[in-house]
Amino acid sequence: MNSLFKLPMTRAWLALFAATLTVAVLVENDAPARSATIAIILIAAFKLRLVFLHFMELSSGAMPWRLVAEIWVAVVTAVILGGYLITAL
Amino acid sequence: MHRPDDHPHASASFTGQRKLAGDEGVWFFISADITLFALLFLLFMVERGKAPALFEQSRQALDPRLGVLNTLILLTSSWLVALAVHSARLGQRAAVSRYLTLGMLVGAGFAVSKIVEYWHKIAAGITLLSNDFFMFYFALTGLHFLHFVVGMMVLAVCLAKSRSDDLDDRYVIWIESSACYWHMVDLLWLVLFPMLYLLHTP
Amino acid sequence: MLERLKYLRVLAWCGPVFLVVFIVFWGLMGHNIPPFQPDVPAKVIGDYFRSDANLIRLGMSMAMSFTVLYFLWGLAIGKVIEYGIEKDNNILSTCAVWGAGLTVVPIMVSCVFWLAGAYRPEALDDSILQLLYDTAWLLIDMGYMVTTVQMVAMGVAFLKDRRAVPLVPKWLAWYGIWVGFSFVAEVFMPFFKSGIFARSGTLNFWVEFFLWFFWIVFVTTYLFSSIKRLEAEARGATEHAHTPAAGVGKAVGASA
Repeated sequence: MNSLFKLPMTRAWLALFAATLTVAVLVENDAPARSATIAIILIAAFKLRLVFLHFMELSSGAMPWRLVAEIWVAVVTAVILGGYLITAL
Repeated sequence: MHRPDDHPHASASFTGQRKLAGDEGVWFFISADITLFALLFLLFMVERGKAPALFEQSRQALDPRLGVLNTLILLTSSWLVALAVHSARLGQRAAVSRYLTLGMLVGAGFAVSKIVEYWHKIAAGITLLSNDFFMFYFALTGLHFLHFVVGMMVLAVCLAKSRSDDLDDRYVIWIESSACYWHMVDLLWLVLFPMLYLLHTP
Repeated sequence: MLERLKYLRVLAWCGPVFLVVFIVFWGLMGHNIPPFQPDVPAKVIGDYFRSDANLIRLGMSMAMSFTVLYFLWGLAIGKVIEYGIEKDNNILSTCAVWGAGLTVVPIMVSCVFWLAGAYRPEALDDSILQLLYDTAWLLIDMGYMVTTVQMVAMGVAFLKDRRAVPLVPKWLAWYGIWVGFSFVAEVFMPFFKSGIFARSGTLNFWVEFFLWFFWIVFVTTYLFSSIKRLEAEARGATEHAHTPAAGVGKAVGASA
């Protein structure tokens, strides 16, 4: 079992789990601050990259799919963050 | 980890040769699918921008605890399926079967929690016709649920094949491609959850 | 073997002709690209039928006459799959041909509703004209599954091609499967009179219809190149008929 924890997907899973629990703490408050919501969006972007790179194994740099994934994460994050900031500012 | 039916030689030369996990065609499918979802996310954010108060009020009817639970379920299921892929490359038949079964069992929890959630909404008189927010909520999570159901079926095929087929290069491509699809289901939820449940407008 | 490939090129041309007729007569003349948003007042629909009756009659008559070309095009694809890819099992090509043939039904039947509205619009109430317009759209959108069967069967068949360079590239096989799959969003269409899922909406009109149009164009391109390649394979098999090794080659040569 020890070797299980050395695998990249296991580390990614632990990081994803921790990130999700962080989000759970951030939304404890019924009206989270704007900074907390921005943090939630950025944490989501971080999680998306972890899934692409370590579950879907794009960390090997397979082209053009790695590029597609990076652009997709950037675009989706920009859309949600941008859309949020327009209504929150 | 060694078992009587392990075949460590099965694809020993395999892992080093290819960069991409899974079939190129499946990756094309995944790219097209996530692009369509990205368009849906954009449309949601545009509509949200037009009626922030309505979206905020409707959002508060959702329970983020269920969203967190679903996130943890899908992440764990994805991880187990990733371990199944890893085992398939090592030719460990029993481990492939075990991880796939566990991955599907954990994944089934998503269906249970989602059905409970839909049930509560509909019982409270909330449907996809209630307002624009709930149209997106039901349609986006519904389309995602459809992807989830297809994913479960794909995993079931991988499980059946892991028992009947040789764990050769062909099988590894199969399970890698299926796993990538399953991770995509996870991935889309990682966007849907914060976007639908957590964007608080002050 | 060359004999059975004889009419395929003519059938393949039916695809692009269908697409042009469909876009011009059904789409532009019939005011369906884009359609009226479902929440416009019935009077708008009624006035449209009355003022543009002749245009609609012409557009829909032509669309009804030419819709069957979609089936002929689908038949060409089915035959390419059957001769070029399948061996002892023709289920996929059969599904592809039936899917193409059945796709003709919702298109053709929905055209008759527009035509019925335009036949004597001055005698019909606005709400009846609206009903005809709605019925036509509900049919054409909700009949999506027959086309999905065609697209998925074709996709799976193309993926089964074991040539070093497949007749139809893998990305296009997957593109078709994905578009067929994405049509499922139409199930939301009957619930909405505005927004992205409505018949005129971003997703259920602009995205779905144009994904399908592009698919027709891409598939037609590879259909012509596939016919050419099958002809070359058949000719190669005939020329080498005397050498015993030739018969063991690719599927086309299997039963002469």
